[in-house]
Amino acid sequence: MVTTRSGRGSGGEVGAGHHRQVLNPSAGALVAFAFSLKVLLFPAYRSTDFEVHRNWLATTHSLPLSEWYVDETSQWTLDYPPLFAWFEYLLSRLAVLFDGEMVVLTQLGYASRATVAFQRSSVIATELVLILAAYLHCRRVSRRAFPLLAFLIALNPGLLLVDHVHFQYNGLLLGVLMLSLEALQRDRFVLSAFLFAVLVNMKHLFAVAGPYYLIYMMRTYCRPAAGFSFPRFALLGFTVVAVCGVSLGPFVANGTIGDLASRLFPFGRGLCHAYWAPNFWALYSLADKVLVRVAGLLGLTRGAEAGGHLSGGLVGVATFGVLPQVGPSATLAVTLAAMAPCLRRTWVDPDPKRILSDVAFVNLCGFMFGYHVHEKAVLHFVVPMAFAAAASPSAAMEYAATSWPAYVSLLPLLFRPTERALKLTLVLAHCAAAAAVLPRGKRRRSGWSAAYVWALLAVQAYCIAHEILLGSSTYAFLPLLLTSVTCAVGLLALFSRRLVSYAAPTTLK
Amino acid sequence: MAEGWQGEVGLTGAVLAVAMAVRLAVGLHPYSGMGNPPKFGDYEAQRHWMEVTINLPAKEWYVHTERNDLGHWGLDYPPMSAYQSYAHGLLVRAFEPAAVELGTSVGYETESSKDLLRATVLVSDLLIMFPAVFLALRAIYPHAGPRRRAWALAVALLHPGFVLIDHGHFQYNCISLGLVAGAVAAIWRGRDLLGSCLYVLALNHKHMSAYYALAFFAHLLGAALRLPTWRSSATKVSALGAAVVLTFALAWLPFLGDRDLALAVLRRLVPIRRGVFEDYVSNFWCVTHVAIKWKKLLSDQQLAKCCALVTAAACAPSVAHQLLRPSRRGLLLAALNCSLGFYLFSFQVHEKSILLPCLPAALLSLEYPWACLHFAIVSAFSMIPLLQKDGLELACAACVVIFISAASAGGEVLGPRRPGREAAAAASLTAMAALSAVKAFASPPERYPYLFDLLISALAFAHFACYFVYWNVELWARHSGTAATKRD
Repeated sequence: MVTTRSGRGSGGEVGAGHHRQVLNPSAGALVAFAFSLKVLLFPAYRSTDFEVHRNWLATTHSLPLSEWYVDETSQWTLDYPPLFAWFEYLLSRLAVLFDGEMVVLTQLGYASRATVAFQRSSVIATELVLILAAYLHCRRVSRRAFPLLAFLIALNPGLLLVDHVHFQYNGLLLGVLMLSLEALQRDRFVLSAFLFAVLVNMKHLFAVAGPYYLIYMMRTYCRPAAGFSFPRFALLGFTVVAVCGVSLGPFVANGTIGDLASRLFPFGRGLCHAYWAPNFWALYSLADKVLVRVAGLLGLTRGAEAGGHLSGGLVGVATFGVLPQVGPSATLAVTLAAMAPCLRRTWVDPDPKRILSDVAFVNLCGFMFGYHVHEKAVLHFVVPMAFAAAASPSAAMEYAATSWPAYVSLLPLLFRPTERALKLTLVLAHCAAAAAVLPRGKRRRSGWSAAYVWALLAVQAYCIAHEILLGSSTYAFLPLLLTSVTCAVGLLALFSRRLVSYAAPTTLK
Repeated sequence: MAEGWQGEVGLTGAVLAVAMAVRLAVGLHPYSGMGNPPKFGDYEAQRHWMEVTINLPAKEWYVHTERNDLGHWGLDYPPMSAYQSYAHGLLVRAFEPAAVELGTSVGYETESSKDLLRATVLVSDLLIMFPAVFLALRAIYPHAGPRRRAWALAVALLHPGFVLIDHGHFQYNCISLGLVAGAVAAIWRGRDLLGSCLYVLALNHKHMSAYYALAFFAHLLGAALRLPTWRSSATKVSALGAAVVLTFALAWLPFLGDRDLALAVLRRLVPIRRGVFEDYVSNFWCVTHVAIKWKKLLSDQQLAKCCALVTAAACAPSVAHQLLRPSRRGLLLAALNCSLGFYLFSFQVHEKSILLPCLPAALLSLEYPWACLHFAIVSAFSMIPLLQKDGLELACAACVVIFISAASAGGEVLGPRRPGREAAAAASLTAMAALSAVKAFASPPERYPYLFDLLISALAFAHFACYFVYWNVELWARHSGTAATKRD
C-alpha cells in the first residue's frame, strides 16, 4: 500500500526530534502567521478609537506642548498620560511620510487607505515589544515553552479583537508591563521600577498593580533580610519621581497640569461602562434592577425608576434604585481590600516565582471592583496569566479556565454582523486550543468548570440567534446583559478561588 | 502536550478553524468589480445568476428574453452552477430580498449583501471542499498518521489561490474542485462508479473541470481493460458509461425536453471567440507572443486547432501511461499533468485556471512536499496582476506568508536539510517577491505599460514548464512496471 517517502506511518513521528515533529510549529512560524492574519484584518471594523488615535497623532504633531491637553478641535481629546502622547508624537513623525493629511488637526474622521495601513501597522509593529518580553521570559524559564507562549500571545483573541480590529495599543503597553515584570523576576529592581513608572505614565490604568510593586520591592529590595536600606529606597523613589518629572514636569511648567488631570480622571463617567464589563459591579447592577422590580411588585416603589435604563449605551452616572450608591472612593477601598490578602502574603513570603500570577490577580482585583472599568481591561490579567502558563501547569489550567469568560466577554465589542463569524472563530478556537494544548496539572478539571463552559456557550448561542433573528431593535440589551452576567459569574468564581488560596496560606507550601 | 491535541479530531479541528479564520479575514477585503459600474465583476455575475435563477423558470435561464439580458453576465456555466445559484439565491432572498430582486438588483452592493454572498461561498467551501479534501487525504495516505495528514490538509486548505479567488475575488471553485477531490477519494477507495458520478457533477458545475477529463478517462478505461476477463472489462466499461450518461442526464434534466433549448445551453458554454488568451496568462501562447505574434500569424480558428493539437500532445504521455499502467497515484500525477498541459497550451485560458492543476498538486503534498508547496506559491504569484486589479495584493501577500508559515510546520515531511534545494527555493521566492513588489509599488515605463505583467507571466511560465516536465518524468519513472504501483 501507499506510504510516504520519508518514513512509514505514525511510527516515524515518535522517533523524530522535537523540532522536526509535524505540525509542531516554531515560534517564528506562529508569529509570522499571526502577523499576516493581522494584516488581513486591515479592512475590518474600526471603532472610534481609531479616530481617537489619529486625532492624537494630529494633536501632538501640530500643537505645542501647552495645548496637548487643552485643545478641543475634536471630541476625541487626548486622555492618556504624557508618555503615550510622546509615543504618538514619534509615530506622527513617521505618519507624515505615509499620508500628510493624517496629521492635520481639522481632518476629523480621516481614514485613507494609507492612513489605515499606517495606523494598523503601527499596532502590529509595536506589539513586538510584547513578543520580545515573551521571548525573554521563555529564555529564562523554558526555551521549549516559547512556541506555546507565542501562540498564546501572538494569536491572543483579546489582542486580535481589541488591538487589531477595534483599535488600541494594548500590545505595546502590556509589552512594557511584561518587560518590567521580567526585570523584577531577574531581581533588576531599578529597571523594573523604571519600566513600570514609564508604563503608568503611558496609561495610568496600569497603576492598579502599583501597591503590589510597592510591597514586593519594599520587602525584597529595600528590606531583604534585616533592617531597612534607605539608599535603595531612595534610588527607587528617585527613579519613579524622575520618570514622573520628565513626563509631567513640562505640563506643570506650562500650567496645563490641571487640564491634564481632569482629562485623565473623568469621574463623571459613572461606575459602569455603557456595556457592563463582566465584573462585580455588573452583578451588583443586575441585583439592583431585580430588587427594583421586586420592590415595584410589592408596591414599595419610591421613585426608584431612576436606574431604568439597562445597558442602553448612554455614558453617564448611573444611579441605583435600591442598593447603596457606589462612588470612586468606595471602589478604590473595595479594590484594595480585595488585594489585601495577596499583598499580605507577598509581604510575608515574597517569591519571584509567583510574581506573574500575583500581578495577574492584582489586576483582576482592579478589573472586578474598579470604577468605570472597560471589558477591554481583561487583557490586563489574561496576558500575565498567559506568561505564567508557559512555566507552570497549575497556572496553565487557570489560564485555560479564565480564557473562556475573559475572551467571550469581548465579543460584543465587535457588533457588526460582518465580523461575527470571524470573532467567534478566533475566540472559540483559541479557548478550545488553549484547553487542549496547555499542560494539565495533577488536579483534574472540576465538573463545575466544564458545566460553566457549556453554559457560557449555550448563552452565546442564544445571543447569536437573538442577533440574527430579532436584529438589534428588539431587546437589544438582552444579549449584552446575558454575556456580561455569565462572564462576570465565571470571573468572580475564579477571583474567589484565588482569594481563598491567599487567605489560607497553609494550602500552599 | 495533552493527548487530545494529538488526536485526529483535535488536529483536524484546529486546521479547520485556522482555514476558516483566514477565509473570513480575506472576505473583509474587496471582491472583483467592487464599486465599478456598469459591468462590475465576478461578484455581480454570481449575484446576477442568483437573481435570474430564483425569479425565472429554468427554461429561461440560458436564453435571451426581455426578462433575462444575456448581455449582462448571462449564465454561461453548466447547469450545476445554475442550481447552486438557485439554492444560494433562496438563502440570500430569505435575509435580503432586494439583493436578488429581478431587474432592479443589477449592481446591488451593500455591506449586508456582501456578508451574505461571502457566507454562501464559505458554506460551500465548508460543506464540499473541506470534507472532500479531508477524505481524499485519508484515502491517499492511510498510513501517514494524523499529524502528517492534518498538515497536508492545512497546506491544501490554506492554498493562497483557493482562498484568494473564492473568498477574495469571488467565485465558487471550492464546489467543482471539491467534487473532483471527492471523485479522487472515491476512486482511491475503489468506488469507480461513485468517482465518475462526482467527476461528472464537477464537470457540470464548471466545465473548466474538463482539464482533468483525459486523465480520469484514461485511468478508468485503463483499469477496466486490465480486469481479468474480457467480459468483466466490458461490464465495467458499460457500467462506467451508464453512470456518466445518467449523471449527465440528471444534471441536464430541465433542459432535455426541448432539443433547441439543450443546444442553446450548450452554445452558452462554448466561449464566444475571445482569442487565444486574455490579459496576461502564464502559458505558452501568451509568453511566446512576445517573439511570435500568434494572433497575427493565424486566425482564431487555426489557432484553436493548433492549441488542440499541442494540448493533446502535451497530455499524451499521461494518457498513455494511465491506459497502459493505470495506478491510483498515477491518476493524481496524470490529472496534474493534463490540467497543467491544458493550462499551458489550450485555447482561451484564464489566469484563474491555474487552480485546476493546484488541486492534484495539493493532494500530492506528502509525496512531493517541496515541489507542491513551491508550485502553490508560484500559482498565487501568477495571478498577481488579476489580484492587484481587485485590490487584493495585500491579502495575497498575507496569504502567501500564512501558507509558508503553515508549510514550515511540515517538520520531517520536508525531509532533511538540503542546502542546494533551499538555495534554489530562496532564489525563486526572492525573484517572485521582488517582481511582486515592483508590480505593486513602481509604475511601468510608458512605452511598455504591461511590462511587469509580462515579466510575471514569463517567470511563472518558466516555473510551470519545469514542473510540467518534472511531473511527467516522475509519472513514468516512479510509477512504472513494478508490482507495488499496480492498482490494488
